[in-house]
This record gives sequence, C-alpha cells and structure tokens, in this order.
Amino acid sequence: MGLVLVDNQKVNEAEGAYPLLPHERTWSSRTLFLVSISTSVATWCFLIGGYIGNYLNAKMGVAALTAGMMIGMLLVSLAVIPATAKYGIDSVTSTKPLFGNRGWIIALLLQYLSVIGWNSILLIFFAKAAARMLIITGIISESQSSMLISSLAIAAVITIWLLLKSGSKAVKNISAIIAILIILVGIWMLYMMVNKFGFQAIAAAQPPYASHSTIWNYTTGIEIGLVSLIAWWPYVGGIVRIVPKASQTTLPSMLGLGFPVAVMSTIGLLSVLLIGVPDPTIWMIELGGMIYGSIVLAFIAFANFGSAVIGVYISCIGLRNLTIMQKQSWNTVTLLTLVPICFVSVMIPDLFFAKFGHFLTLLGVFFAPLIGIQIIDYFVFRKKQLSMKDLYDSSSSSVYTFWKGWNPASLISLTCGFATYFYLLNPLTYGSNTPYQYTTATLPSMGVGALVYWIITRFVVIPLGRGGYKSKQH
Amino acid sequence: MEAKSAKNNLLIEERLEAISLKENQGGDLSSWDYVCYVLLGVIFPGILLIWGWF
Repeated sequence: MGLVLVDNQKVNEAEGAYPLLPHERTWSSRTLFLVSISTSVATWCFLIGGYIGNYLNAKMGVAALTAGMMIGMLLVSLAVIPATAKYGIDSVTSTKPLFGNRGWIIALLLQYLSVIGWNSILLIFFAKAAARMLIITGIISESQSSMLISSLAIAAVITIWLLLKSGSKAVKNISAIIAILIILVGIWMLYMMVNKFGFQAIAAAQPPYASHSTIWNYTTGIEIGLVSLIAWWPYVGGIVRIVPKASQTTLPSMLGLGFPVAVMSTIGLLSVLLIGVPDPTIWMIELGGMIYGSIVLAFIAFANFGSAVIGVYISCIGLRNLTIMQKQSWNTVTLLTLVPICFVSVMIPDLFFAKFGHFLTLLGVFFAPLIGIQIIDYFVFRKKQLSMKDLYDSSSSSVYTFWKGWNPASLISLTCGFATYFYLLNPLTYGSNTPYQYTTATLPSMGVGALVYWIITRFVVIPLGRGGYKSKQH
Repeated sequence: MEAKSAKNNLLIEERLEAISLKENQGGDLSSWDYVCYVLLGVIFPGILLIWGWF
C-alpha cells in the first residue's frame, strides 16, 4: 500500500517527498493533534519561558508569550498549511514555486539546520536530566556526570534511529502516549509551583534582567514567543500532509502546536521568576520529593524523544527532495540527520545550551521573511493553485525554473527581510533600534520580505513571463 | 536498471497526474477555518496583550 519503486527499493510514500494520495493520508484530526502536542512540547519550552522570565513578571510574561506564540502559529499556518495539506507535500517542496526548482535548496538548508539545533537541545536536556536523576539517586557520582551525559546523548541518538525504522508509524504510535503524559506532567509541575510558592509570591516576583523600558520588555516577550513558533515552519508541512483534508488541520495545529507550548513555557517563566533557573530538572526533586521528582524527570526525558523522533522524521522527508537521498535507504537518511545532532550533543553541549537564545532569534531572522514571501506567493500570485508536474520537474521545462532554477525575487526579498530584522534586533547581542519596541523584529521583517517580493514579482518577474504565473495552473 | 528507472518514472508520473485531480487533493481552507485562525491567532492574542499590559 502506498509504495513506489525508487531505484530498486520499496519506499513508503509517507517517508518520501512525493505528494501523498488520499489512501496514504491516514492520520485523523485527533492523531494530528496528539502528534502536534508531542512535537511541540519538550524541554525547549522551559528555556523559551525562561528567556521571557528574564524580562517580564508572571502576568505580563504569560500574556506576551502566549500571544506571541499564537500569532506566530497563525502566520506559519497560513504560509505552510494551505499548500502542504492540499497537495500532500512537505514544507520544503512547497517552496519550489517561490525559490525555483533549484533554489528550494535554501529552504532545505534552513530546515536541516533548524532541526539539528532544536533536536540537539532536546538531547542535551535529556542527557542532563537523566544524569541528574542518577546522581541524586546515588547511582553515579558527580564526577562521572560529564562522561555520562555524552554516553546518554549517543544512546538517545541510537534509540531514535531505531524508533524511526518504521517511519511515520513510529511518529504516530509514540505521540499518543507521550502527549497524554506531557499534559499530566505539565499540570502537576504547575500545581507544585503554585502549591509551594502561592499566587501572591508568583504575582510579586520580579524579572532579573528587565530593562528600564516596560514596552521594550513586553515586546521582547512577544518576539521570543513569535520566533519560537515560526520556527515550526519545517515541522508543519511534514505532519499536516498525512491528514486527508486541509480543513481537518486548522484546530489541531493551532491548539496542538501553538497553545501547549505557551502553557509549558509558563513553567520555565515561573522557574526563572521564583527560583532563578529555567530548568525544572534542577529543582524538581527538591520540590516534588525523591519519588515524584524522579518520575517527573523520567517523563521529561521521555517526552524529548517524541519531539526528537518527529523532528528527525521531518528533516528526512525534506532531504528526500534531493535525488541522491531518494536513492538511499530510509535508515541511511535518518542516520545522516542524526549524525550532526549527535556531534553537537556530545562535543559542544554546554556551548550550544548557553547560546540557545541566539539560536532562537537566528531562526526568526531566517524564517520570518520566508513566511511573508510564501503567503504572498501562494495567495496573491498563485491563487492557491500549484502545478504538481512542474513542482517535481527539475529540468528547465518546469514553469518554476525562473532563471536557471533560481528566483531572484525571493532571494532579494529574503535579504531585505534579513536586513530589516538585523536593523531592528541584533540576534547576537539583543541590541535593538526603534521602532523595535513597538513592532517586534519578526513582523516587520516578514512584512518587508512580503512587500519586496510582491513588487519584484508584480513588476519584473510576471512581465518577463517567468515563474508560470500567467500560465494556466492545474 | 534503465528499465526499472523508466518504470519508476512512470509511477511517479501517474502519482503526479493523480494528485493533480481535484478529488485527490486535500482541498482549500474553508471560511470556518479562517474564522478559527482569526479567533485564535488575532483576537485571542489581542485580548491577552491588553490584559497583560493593564
């Protein structure tokens, strides 16, 4: 069922980059919802919330992070879901009409790097949580922790590789269990914090690194929420394509990928405000006691596996767009995605952990203009129609060839979007320029990218007859 | 090998032809979907931001 021969190998189409046909799109709305929760909720939430807790108190922090995340989820949904859910294609493939039938490599690179980053954080967190549990329970000594963290990260990579042998089935099966566990653990952790400190202490807690400008702090909270969620761009296409109808994806994606991240990030936010560290693995045993604390630590470690399995799966689907990857076995492709993750997790865990905030804002730099461009291209210029034959035609006869496979309009627009972001907010120093405090950096970057793309496409690309905008689409 | 590759291409072509038919596609988002997006992605965050600020 759903098999296509690719150079002497049988490949389930859900593990390939070609569009899925109705009988291959087997996930229900409920499955997508559970997979979305399992994807989005992991220990990165604590770090995201922790960053916001540096600048905002509990009330403003919860409002800013939740609002930023829901707006971010809306934008990424509008960019990716209409095309991917309609045609059963993944996020990377959906960029061929805007980047060109060679230029889409940019999207693949962005996806690959972001998945490596996100999943490295997960494995580092997993290894740290597991090592802490073993130290606290007296199984190993503190001096052995460094070696143990590296060993656990390698063990996690091997486990993920083994789990992914069954492809999307693994994603579906593992998600159902993890999603429910995560919700329960999250509720329990919030209860523990409220029970221990009380509402008054939570309301009175002040952020440690707030600037003198309240509006700057508030906008930065929204910005962190926004960039965290637009970074789901690679993930969204890969999972909504397995659901039969586009309209079945709306609520599961908004409520599964957006809202739960906000709820779990609140734990990191409160952790920073009340305890001074975002990482609950540090205080969970102390707060919950040895037995409950250890159980929760184990759940947290386990929850990361769900997100990592889905992240690697999504990245592999993107890689399958490369002809050379279509010839490789599924196991080889998963291995190629896992090797760099393993490298970061084992070789530079502390450095990457410390620079996670920079990683987040860099994601905003790259994905914000891309999302703006994609929305304009699909809704305004393509009128919600793509040509499937041209999408998978890498020759010069494809309407998505533009100029030798590249669309200068999207490259110039992306550059303008990058420049806008860097002007408003330097992702490395967090130095900002007006009007950042009123607009965020992500939204103007997205708007500038979209506007420049519209101008160049409308006045240059279409008049020159490139990109298939005038031809009748299928 | 060439014969297999040709068969493979044919299957891919069939797949692309099939997905080009409207009945094999996932359809567009409905008006109700856009209402949900506006409610969850615009109005709800807007209310939250006002609540958080005051």
